[in-house]
Amino acid sequence: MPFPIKSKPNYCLLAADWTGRHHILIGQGAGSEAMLRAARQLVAAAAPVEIHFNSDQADTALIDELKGLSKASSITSVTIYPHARAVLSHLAEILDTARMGSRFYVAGSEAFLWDVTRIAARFGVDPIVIQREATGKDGRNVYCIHCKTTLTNVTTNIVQCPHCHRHLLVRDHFSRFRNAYMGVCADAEVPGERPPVEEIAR
Amino acid sequence: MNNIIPVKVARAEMITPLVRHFTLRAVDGLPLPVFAGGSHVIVSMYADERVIKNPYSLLSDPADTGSYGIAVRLQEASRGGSRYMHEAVRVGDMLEISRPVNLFPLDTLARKHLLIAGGIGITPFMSQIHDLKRRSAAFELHYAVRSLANAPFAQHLLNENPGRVHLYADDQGERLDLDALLGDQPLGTHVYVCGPQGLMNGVRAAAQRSGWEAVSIHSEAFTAPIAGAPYTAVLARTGQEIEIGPEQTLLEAAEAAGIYPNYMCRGGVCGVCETRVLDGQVKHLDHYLSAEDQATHQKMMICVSRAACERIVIDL
Repeated sequence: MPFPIKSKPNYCLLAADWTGRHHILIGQGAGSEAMLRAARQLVAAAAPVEIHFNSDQADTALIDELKGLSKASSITSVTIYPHARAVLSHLAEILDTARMGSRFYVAGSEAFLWDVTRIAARFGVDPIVIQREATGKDGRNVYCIHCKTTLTNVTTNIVQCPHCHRHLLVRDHFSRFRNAYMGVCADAEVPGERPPVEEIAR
Repeated sequence: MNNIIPVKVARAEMITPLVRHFTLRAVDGLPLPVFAGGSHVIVSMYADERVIKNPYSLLSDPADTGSYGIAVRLQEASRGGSRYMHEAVRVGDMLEISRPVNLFPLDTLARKHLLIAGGIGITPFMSQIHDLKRRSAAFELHYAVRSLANAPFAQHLLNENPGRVHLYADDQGERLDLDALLGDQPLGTHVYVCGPQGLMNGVRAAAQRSGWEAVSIHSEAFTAPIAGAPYTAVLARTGQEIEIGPEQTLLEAAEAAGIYPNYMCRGGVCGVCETRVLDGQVKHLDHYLSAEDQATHQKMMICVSRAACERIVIDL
């Protein structure tokens, strides 16, 4: 059932899109299982497949399996990046030379999925050609609308902004532009009077 | 009926043996509406027995609110509209145009715009190129024509856009290789095509073969309503019966009878004139309804489609 708030993103299980002429898989951390699953489907592809994966905090056995896929003839390259931002930096190079007909498959934390989508948007790539599978237990990015700070890994409905110290209500409104959920002062009317703190599911 | 602007024909000149270029100015002397490249207006022509309404793309600079430019190609199998524009309209005459409507906009987030024109289909690209240059956007125009003598605005476009316009004259054996063109474009390219049906089908097919997603492919069809057998339409709300002639559309017949259904494009693509069919079979000539909807014969686009029987009952 779709979320009542339209901007809250929906994610899918990565699935081979056979209309593509070039398949580019990008992943991070807990996305390794999803990446393997998609790569195994695409082994049957006639089109080239390249895999870019950030191994930071990923299961080493699964990383080894990903590396092993480079033996398949249709998998043109498997590149493992040890640092969290390295794959995103490399993404711009990939996008600059990629041609129309490319399909993108992204797996990782929610924040990573939208970092990739935003970089791709700079190259005119419509979000509709990027499949996103959210994995792992990372919390939300939250944007404090008051002081414009972005908080990371938020797992509760109320969180204190480390910069302006307001207690923020974490809403389900998600900004693709900012890659964050909206955080708005929870006790503006009566300071100190706030709803109880609860864990939130992603 | 909907937001009419009276205009005067300030200039009219033949720019090729078949194409007449008109410059239109507002009768009241006030600025004309600003529009986005790719827009068209619907020109109402009061011919002897009937009103003909045809859409024509605006080819002038959208920032020029002093006048609009349109170009009309004389169609051999004309229902009368293009013939009227060529033979009956003189400089100084008044015409009625609708406010501009845009069913063929540029995608402003595209990294590159690939424009493909066939013949008179060049017109919407002319206003779009003004917008693209104002935004310093990357673009290329590929313009296919029957012959250099029948290539409206070709020289002007080549002069104004050095290095970005490629002309293909059929009679010189020059062919536009769509697979080569669409097979090697950078990510973020959008393709826009306007021209004969064959060219539009060719571009769509080549784009799909090269794996382009649908959001990157844009087209505008200049379909004139097709003639057919005459028939009777019963307007269910009043019981009134109207006769539709072979060269006439249901929308035109309704208007002639004093009924003014909603419409926008008059070309079977926008969906505004969709009307419920209560009895009878429809000959669908539109590009809007899905195959499933067409099969039910419960809806029709009255601006282009016809009855496939002698008598049809519609919810009007």
